[in-house]
Formats: sequence, C-alpha cells, structure tokens
Amino acid sequence: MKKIILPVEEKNLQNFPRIYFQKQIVCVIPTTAQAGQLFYFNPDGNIDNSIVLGLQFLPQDNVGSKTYFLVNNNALPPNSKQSPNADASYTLITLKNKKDEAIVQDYPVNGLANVVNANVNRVVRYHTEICLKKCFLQWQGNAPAQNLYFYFSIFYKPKN
Amino acid sequence: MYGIPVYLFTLGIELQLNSIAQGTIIQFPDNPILREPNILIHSVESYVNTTTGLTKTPGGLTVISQNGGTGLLINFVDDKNQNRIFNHPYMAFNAPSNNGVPREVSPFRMVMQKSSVQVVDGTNLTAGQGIYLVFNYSTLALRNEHKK
Repeated sequence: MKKIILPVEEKNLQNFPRIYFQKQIVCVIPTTAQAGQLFYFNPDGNIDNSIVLGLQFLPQDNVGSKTYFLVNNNALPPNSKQSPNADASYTLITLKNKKDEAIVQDYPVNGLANVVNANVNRVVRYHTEICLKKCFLQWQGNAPAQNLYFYFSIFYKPKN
Repeated sequence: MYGIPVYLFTLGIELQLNSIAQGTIIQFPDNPILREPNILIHSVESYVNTTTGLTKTPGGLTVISQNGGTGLLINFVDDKNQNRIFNHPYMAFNAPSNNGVPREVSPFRMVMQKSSVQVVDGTNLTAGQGIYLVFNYSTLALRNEHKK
C-alpha cells in the first residue's frame, strides 16, 4: 500500500494542544425551534480569513468541580440558558467553507464536549477554512422550554 | 496528546434498523462523498442515545440505546475487497467509552456498499431505531486545494 505522507504542518499539530488564537462563538436555538430546523452562526471576519484548527463545545453541565465551562447566565436574555449536554443530544453541527463544501456534516454536538469524553480535552481538529455564516446547528428535538445558547470555543490561525 | 487526530472532513451516516432479528445484516448506503477514490477514512465514531450522546439522527430516527449498541458488530471492507474491520463491536467505536479518544485506523479507502452492521443481539434494540456513525476522513486532492 502506498505510504501516506502528511504535510509537515499537520505533523506538527499532532502535539495537542497548540492554541494559536481562540474565540467564543455562539448559536441560539429559540423556543420556537422545530425538529429539522437549521440555525446559522453569525458571520465572523476573523474566522473567515483563518485556518480553523479545532472546535470545542462548551456545555453548561457542571461535572464535579469543573465549573469553568459556565458562562454568566445572568447576561443572557430572559428565558434563556447555556445549553447543557441533554439539549445538545438533539443537536448536530455542520461546517461549510466559502465554496459551500461541507467540511463537517451532521456531527453530534456532544461529540465536541470534553465533559462527555472522560474529560479528555476534546478538540476535533479540522485544519481548513470555514465560512461561519454558512455553518449551522440542526435541531432535532421538540420546541425547547428556554432559548438555548450553544457556546463553542473555536481555535484558529491566520492564513499567512 | 497522541491520539487526538487531525481531521480534514467529517461525515455522519445514519442507518435504519429495519429488523432486530439475530444475524440481520444492514448494508451501508452508497454515499457520493465517501465513494470518491481519494477519500481515506482515518477514524470512526459511533453514537448511542444518552443525554451526553445523540438522541435523534439528522433524519429524525431515535438513536439506539447504549445497551442496544452492545448487540451490534461493524464490518468495513476496503477497495481491495479486504475486511479492514471485521466484526468489531459497535461500542468499541464509542468515544466516551474509550476515554474520549475516537478509534483511529490506518487510513484506508472504504467501500460503503460492501460494509455493514450486523445484529448479534436484538434484545435491547427496537426496529425503526437509528444507528449513527461518524467518519473522519481526508482527501489528498482537497487537502492540497485548501492549502492554496
């Protein structure tokens, strides 16, 4: 079988974690959501002009003393909360690039959460370009009782 | 950390469990993305229905339970008609059951229509439920294109 040679920069990325830049992105699933409905992220110029290295879901869940994923819920609008894993189990994420190619298609959001995965830092690396305004969450549950704020940490580096 | 792979692309595939009879073999459907000759599978993740897993597939099927997942085996066949994965437990691909690390494979070209899931114990399965697998893959052509 032909030996597969990874590009040098991918080899370098095997040593986890290496954060170039990180920012938090959010997508809201409202109380009016229906099964099968798509909810898009807001565009972000920084992300659109970068190579995305990884994505991590930040659920509300409080596992043991690990409370560092909690955001300030008081800052959210009324009848809103940071999404816990239970709601994320009804949610899939799709990431696309500018050419509308799916980089990530129908990936379970909980698969991006390290609290689910024995607290192993669960950053799924993609090392590619994405266009945030073409990326979305697909909701597969009934209408949620509260507006659900899905927070993610996105890791990226400038193209040049 | 070793074991955290670099993925270029990810694709979720769902299968409907039409029968739970022991010995039932469910073939994967042909997929236009994974059919491409330059696609290499790097790792596979299986999902079960827990609050920290996946409840519904994109097609709206209820995902099988954790106990149900123990009654399934996976078979993957490559483009040389070799069994690359032969009767490997479905739950062995479940990342949370493996300390959070998805199971990697030496990259290979998978032929979907020859690959399958086999029911070996349908006790905790229900006909109509969904099996959900995520394939992390790369393609040499697209990888080079994205670097331009």
